[in-house]
Amino acid sequence: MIETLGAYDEALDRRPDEIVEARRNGNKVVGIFCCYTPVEIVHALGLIPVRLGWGGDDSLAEDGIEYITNIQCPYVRQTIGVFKEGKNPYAVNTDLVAISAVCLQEYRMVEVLKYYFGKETLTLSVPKNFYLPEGQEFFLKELESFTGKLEIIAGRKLDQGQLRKSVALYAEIRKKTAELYEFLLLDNSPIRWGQILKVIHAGFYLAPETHLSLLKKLNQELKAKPVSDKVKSIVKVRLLLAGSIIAPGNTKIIDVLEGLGVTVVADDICTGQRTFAGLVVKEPTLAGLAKAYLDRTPCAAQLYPTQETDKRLINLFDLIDRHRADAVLYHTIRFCDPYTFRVEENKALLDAREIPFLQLHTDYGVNDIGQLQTRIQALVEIIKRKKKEAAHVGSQAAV
Amino acid sequence: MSQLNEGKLYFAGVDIGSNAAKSVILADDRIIGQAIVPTKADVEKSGVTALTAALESAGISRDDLSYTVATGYGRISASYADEVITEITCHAKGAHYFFPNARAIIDIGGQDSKAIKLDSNGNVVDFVMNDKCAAGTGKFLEVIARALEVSIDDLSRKTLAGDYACPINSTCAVFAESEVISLLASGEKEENIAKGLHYAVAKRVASLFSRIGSNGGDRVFTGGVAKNVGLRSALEEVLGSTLLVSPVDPQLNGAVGAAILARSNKLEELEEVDD
Amino acid sequence: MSLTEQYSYPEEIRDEFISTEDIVFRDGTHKSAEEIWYFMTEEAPAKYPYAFTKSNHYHRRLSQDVTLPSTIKHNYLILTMNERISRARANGTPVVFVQGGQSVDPYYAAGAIALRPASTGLWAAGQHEGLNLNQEELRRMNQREKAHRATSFEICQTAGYENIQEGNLPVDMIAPFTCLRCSDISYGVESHRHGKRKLNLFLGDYPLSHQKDKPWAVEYFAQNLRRLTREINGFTGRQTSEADLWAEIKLHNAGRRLAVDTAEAWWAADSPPTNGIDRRAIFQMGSMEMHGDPSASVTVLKEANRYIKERIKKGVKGEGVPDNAARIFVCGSCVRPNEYRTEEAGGIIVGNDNHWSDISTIVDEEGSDPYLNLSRAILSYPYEQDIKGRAAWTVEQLRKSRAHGVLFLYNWGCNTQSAIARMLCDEVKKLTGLPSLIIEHDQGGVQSEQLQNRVNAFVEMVRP
Repeated sequence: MIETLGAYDEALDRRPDEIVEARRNGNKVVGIFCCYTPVEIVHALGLIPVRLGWGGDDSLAEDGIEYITNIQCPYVRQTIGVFKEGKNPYAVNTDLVAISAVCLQEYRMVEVLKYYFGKETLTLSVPKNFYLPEGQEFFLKELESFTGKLEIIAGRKLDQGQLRKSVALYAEIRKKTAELYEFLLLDNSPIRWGQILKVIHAGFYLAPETHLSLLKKLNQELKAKPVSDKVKSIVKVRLLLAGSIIAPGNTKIIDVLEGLGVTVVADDICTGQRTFAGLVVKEPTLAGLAKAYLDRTPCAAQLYPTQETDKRLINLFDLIDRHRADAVLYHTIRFCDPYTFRVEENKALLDAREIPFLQLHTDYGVNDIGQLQTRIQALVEIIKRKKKEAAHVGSQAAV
Repeated sequence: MSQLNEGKLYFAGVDIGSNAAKSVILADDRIIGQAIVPTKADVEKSGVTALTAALESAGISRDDLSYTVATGYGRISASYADEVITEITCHAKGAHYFFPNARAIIDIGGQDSKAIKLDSNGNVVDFVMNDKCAAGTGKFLEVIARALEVSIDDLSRKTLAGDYACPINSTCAVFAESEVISLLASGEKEENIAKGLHYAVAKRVASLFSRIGSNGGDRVFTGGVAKNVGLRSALEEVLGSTLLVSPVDPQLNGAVGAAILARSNKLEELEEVDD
Repeated sequence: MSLTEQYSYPEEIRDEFISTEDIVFRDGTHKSAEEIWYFMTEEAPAKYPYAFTKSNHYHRRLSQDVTLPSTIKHNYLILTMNERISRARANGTPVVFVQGGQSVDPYYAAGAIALRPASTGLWAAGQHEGLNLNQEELRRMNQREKAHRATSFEICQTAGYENIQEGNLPVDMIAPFTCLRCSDISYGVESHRHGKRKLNLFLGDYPLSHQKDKPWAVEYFAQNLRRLTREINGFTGRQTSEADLWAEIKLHNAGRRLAVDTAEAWWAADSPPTNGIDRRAIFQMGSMEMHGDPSASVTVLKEANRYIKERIKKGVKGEGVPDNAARIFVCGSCVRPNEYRTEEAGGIIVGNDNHWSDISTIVDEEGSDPYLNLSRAILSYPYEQDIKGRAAWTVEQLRKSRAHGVLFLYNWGCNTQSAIARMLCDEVKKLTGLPSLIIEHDQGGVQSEQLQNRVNAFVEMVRP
């Protein structure tokens, strides 16, 4: 039992009322889509940043089809469904929707939110040629313009001192989040990956100061837990989860994996590890933020021409090594082009390294859970057998 | 009446699929009993029915069994099983049992298609399965056969009489049905349509197969659909290689593999106890 | 679709046809109408039997409006795609893969040929001779299937991957603009990274969100264009000057203006002076991409423009066009209903916004920097504006074309166009009251009865 997780739940329960109260006092809420949107700027301007986007509910995803089509990914459809339903406190209390145009379906989704739900929107154009000087110059100017528009909403100019504080705050949050992932390196981690993901998602809604203080508490609590001395008689399988967004509320894959007793030891998902991977803001200025955000471990929607220097792949292999993953589970949601187009390449690269790879292509419906279980179980059977063989060979060698 | 022999061990494999429940009994490593029954709404019961029928054909009783492995989608409700293993692992073992030189398996079931790569011991090295709506399953042919009011066998035989494979564009069984109706209305021959349908499934499956790559060795076609001569011929043509089909009903392949695993896992257990 | 009878151009029109103009190519060579006639009546039917399938169910069936010389010349250019592109390549001209929603001025200025996915499809088809329709369909489907596996089942028509990576096309460079008109092509660029053939990859990075109003966005895209030119120059060994680009812009503008002029005449006419498929080809020639030779496109377009205006003056209707036709405007990406069958049902497609977005955008010919002018124009494509902007432009086209209704078609797997279908139709309805129908088109290949059924029902509904 992890006590701080209980504290998180309580904080989350209080949060919607806090936001309503803050709005009543004249504060504005900026609903953010995509981790490429520099939350530091929003925060430094005294605006309340909330990361939006939801998953896991097939019926809301169906509802969303009314405003778009069924060939958009379920995440986009559900998010539209949430706005349509008009009950989610974060959706309802958003004064401005801000998005970085990295994923093109999300970009369209925001157009729908503006057209059908009257939401005020602000889009930050992110260069696909993010590694070229002209792309970086463009992005800085874009960010300056974006900031200018936010300043109008906030009713104040961006203060350098405030920005410095916000940058430091979010840097600390990322650092503490990265520390949570360190626990997954252990054979018997005191916290499960699914729980870490929930903590990160909690951070999407809570005030960053609250999130940071709870993160620190959580880290301390976990460090203080005694290391389990349970005899390891069962062969454990360590999986890395890669692929499409796993939006808050989408626990399907987590539930299936935990139900099968499979341990996820790392991920490179944008709502997980990539909230902090490779993101280091060296200078607390707009230029510093522009550079850091473009340099971070990229989303697959950020196109890159050279396999060997692709940071997304480098991050993936690094995670496999550090976290001693036995296999990669590549989870894609339907119509998520950036990630499904990469499957063959990822598979080939992992095959070359003799790392088993399994793609699970699914949506938010529950009718294919049996099929997912079968596929994952088969993968587990392969890995367990390989491990047994290796151990057998090892013990023979020892004789 | 028990025909139990002294010193012989008996193992059972039960494969509960969406269409049929299959069971195989081994005496040591020889197949001595088998059964195929339709899967009804009560999945657990169907598994038991298959097992019972197989035991009867083997002339032994449930008590004689040393170990039972259940597989297939209905394995989760198999309370009589000592262990549950996925049909991927079981199909590999089953194909290996009949064809020790097998290194790749294509299995087309009612709802699932899979391509499995195996090593020289019949262990799974890699596998890939169909996604929703990527079709290439038995269901596709079933729907069309029903629409044309023929049996699947008839449809299959018509394939061999076709002059050419009429292109079928739909991957969804529902829309393929209306496509077939339009083709018939435009005067296309049934034989060519049948051929086109089987080729459409074959191409989808071959495409799945290409994902796991080739590693030499024999290729085995398993699952109920392996009995479909039209599809087998289409697949061989599309893949450009012969496909081996087991001498025993290929629909039993998963159950055979499950029984083999029942044996090897039990023997391993007994060895560990001895150590 | 079964093997049906073959169509052949009737001897009666030969004399008149061979007296029409030559096609003049970019390299200065000519093809006379007589040579074209010989090819289309003797050589091509033997080489490419599928193209001469007579049935109306074949949506690419040759138009039988044979007193319009441009229809024969256009099909000549389509069927000689392989021969001409291969020859150009052998002579050192690089071929660059682009997307359909963009213009191609800078590629040609830099010394390359730019082809969109459909054009690469035609080039690939031309590499195989003697195929009937079934065989040609099967060939395409097989290649497509392989491409699906290499990319994704949910890719829109494989975004051109099938012919380049799974086929035999010696394309030199993948270099589309990453316009929103097609996100699959943008994402597909990176798929070539793990393709069988290692190709030069280039992204014409298209900035988003009020891009035409942001000077830094215009400057950024102009930089992309400059870099594109340099990279293509790497293939040709020749440096492109600003004068070269100005000249190219003028040529492409001429084509664009001709297409717009033709369209405006066509739309204003009491009766449609051509059938739907001829209209479509003629309007689209303004893209300067369609034939892989902008000069050839201009010569055919010029002649078509004259003939159409003659017909309008004489009150001549296009072959097969119904009286009191339901005038349908098609919105959406790269797909269309079977024109012939739609006409049989009493409708006619009077326009489609795909390609028209870039064709109707004339580049400013005044100024000091052609790259900036080009960038400004490209960032103003109506397709790439916000929904209000796009709808306003669409409404203008609907008004000019005197459309009775809007058909929004999108391909299965097309994420970006499908995403705005509802918004666009709702906005159009708000502004004009015009009825609309949104249909998901089949995933490539042959038209289905289902699709035609819906189209015909819509035609019946809006017909005056």
